[in-house]
Amino acid sequence: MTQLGTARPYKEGLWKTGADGQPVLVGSRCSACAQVHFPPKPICPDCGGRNVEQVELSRCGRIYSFTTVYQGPAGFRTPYVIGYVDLPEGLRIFTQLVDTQPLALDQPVVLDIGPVKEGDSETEVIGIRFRPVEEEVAS
Amino acid sequence: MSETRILGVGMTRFARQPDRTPEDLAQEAILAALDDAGLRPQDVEAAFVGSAYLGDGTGQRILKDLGIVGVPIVNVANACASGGNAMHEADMWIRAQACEVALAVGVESLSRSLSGGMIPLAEDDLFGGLGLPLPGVYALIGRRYMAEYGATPEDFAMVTVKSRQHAMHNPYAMFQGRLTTIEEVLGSRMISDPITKLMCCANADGAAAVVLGSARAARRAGGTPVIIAGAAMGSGTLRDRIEQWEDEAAARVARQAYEAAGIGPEDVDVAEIQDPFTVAAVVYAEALGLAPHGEGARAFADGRFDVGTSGPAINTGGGLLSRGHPLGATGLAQVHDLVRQLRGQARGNQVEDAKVAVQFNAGGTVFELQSNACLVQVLVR
Repeated sequence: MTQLGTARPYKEGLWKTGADGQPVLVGSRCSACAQVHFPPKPICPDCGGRNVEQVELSRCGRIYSFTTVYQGPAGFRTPYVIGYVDLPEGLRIFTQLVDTQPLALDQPVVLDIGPVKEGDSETEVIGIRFRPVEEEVAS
Repeated sequence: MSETRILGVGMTRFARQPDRTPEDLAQEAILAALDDAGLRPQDVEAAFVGSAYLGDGTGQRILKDLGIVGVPIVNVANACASGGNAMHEADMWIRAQACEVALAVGVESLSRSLSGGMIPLAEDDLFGGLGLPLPGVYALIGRRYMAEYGATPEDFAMVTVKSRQHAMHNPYAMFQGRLTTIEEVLGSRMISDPITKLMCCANADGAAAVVLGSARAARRAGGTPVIIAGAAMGSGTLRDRIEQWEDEAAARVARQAYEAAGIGPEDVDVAEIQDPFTVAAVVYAEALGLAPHGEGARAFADGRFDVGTSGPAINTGGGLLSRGHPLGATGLAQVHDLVRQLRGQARGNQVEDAKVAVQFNAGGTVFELQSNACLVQVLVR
């Protein structure tokens, strides 16, 4: 795990430190219709309900699709792997994928917040990553 | 409410032409469209100018030199759908009887607006900040599509091969005369697997323009104009939910446009479909009902969308893949090509007796949505 003191999230508000001290993605759930969204929304985008609460999302999911990027935006060291991961909450999350040998569709993966691009010498830019696991474990 | 007519179309060659200003490019396209319509700049009652990157005042900078001044000038920025969006605005104004003759312009100079390479996303974008390049959007769709429907990288490569064949007859296309093979497409540099360099469209500079008119303006102009039988525009919905993830925006907007026109996909003779990457051509052909779900890749590979076959001909001018993609101009270049088809003026790649055409123009940069904007127009003669 990256030392969080020297790390800067690429975007604020996507994850927090869970009760077990490990990062966990944060979604929003509507108290009226119970629909969950990621990233968290200020109101419910489905029913318009104003009462939404933050919820911790599952750390484990399955790969919906993936691709290896050989020509990426500035600051990303190629090749790297990106993909979509499906969570039990019915959410499809865009993510980087690490430790990817081998990789297959529908493979179980687990959240692994960590470096996603080259930062400057002082700070590391961290973001959403998942890595393969043998079996889905309880999150 | 009376249907809008297309009185004239014009475009520049699409190519890398960094020596030409956006104003210069757009003025050439506008004058070509006005000549085609038999109208003068002074006949334009409102103008709608689309570009993704050129910014505030683009329309005014272009139009002042032609004497198109004093009238309402509306600038439209909506990613790769800016051109189609500009035309849709013009169409709405005419249908609302706010004017009789309107001009739609699309222009882009990517040589001047970008330092080169791919279209960038913001660093704190939910997707861009993790390194999503635009080809990756379609690589991810393509990987899943191959697994679900048994399509192959060869199928996706064939879309480029077919595109180059169609562009052989298009003097405006960046890649006219550049035929290719499956081997060459698959052997070109890997960008984001399974998408190789030759499965991507190229940045280009260019402009296109369309003159639109009311039924009365069309009667004054004479001839038999192409009619916008139905048009619809929409944006994508949030796709973080798995059940909302499938790209329904294109299919939804197409359904609305077909319904407005009273015409179905089975009636379409010729189509222009946004194909920034080969995978896009496949999934959008399906969304428009031109191939059954899961069969689009095979349909392209089997040549079912070639000119001269029984199926609807798709991207007869080469599409974005071979025409080149000056973002704001693309939507109106699509209309240019379809109007020439419907008039029987498509030299070399004419679809025999083409009566019904459909256009799909779309743009995306905010990938929490399926698309920033997508637009379908059904044209008939």
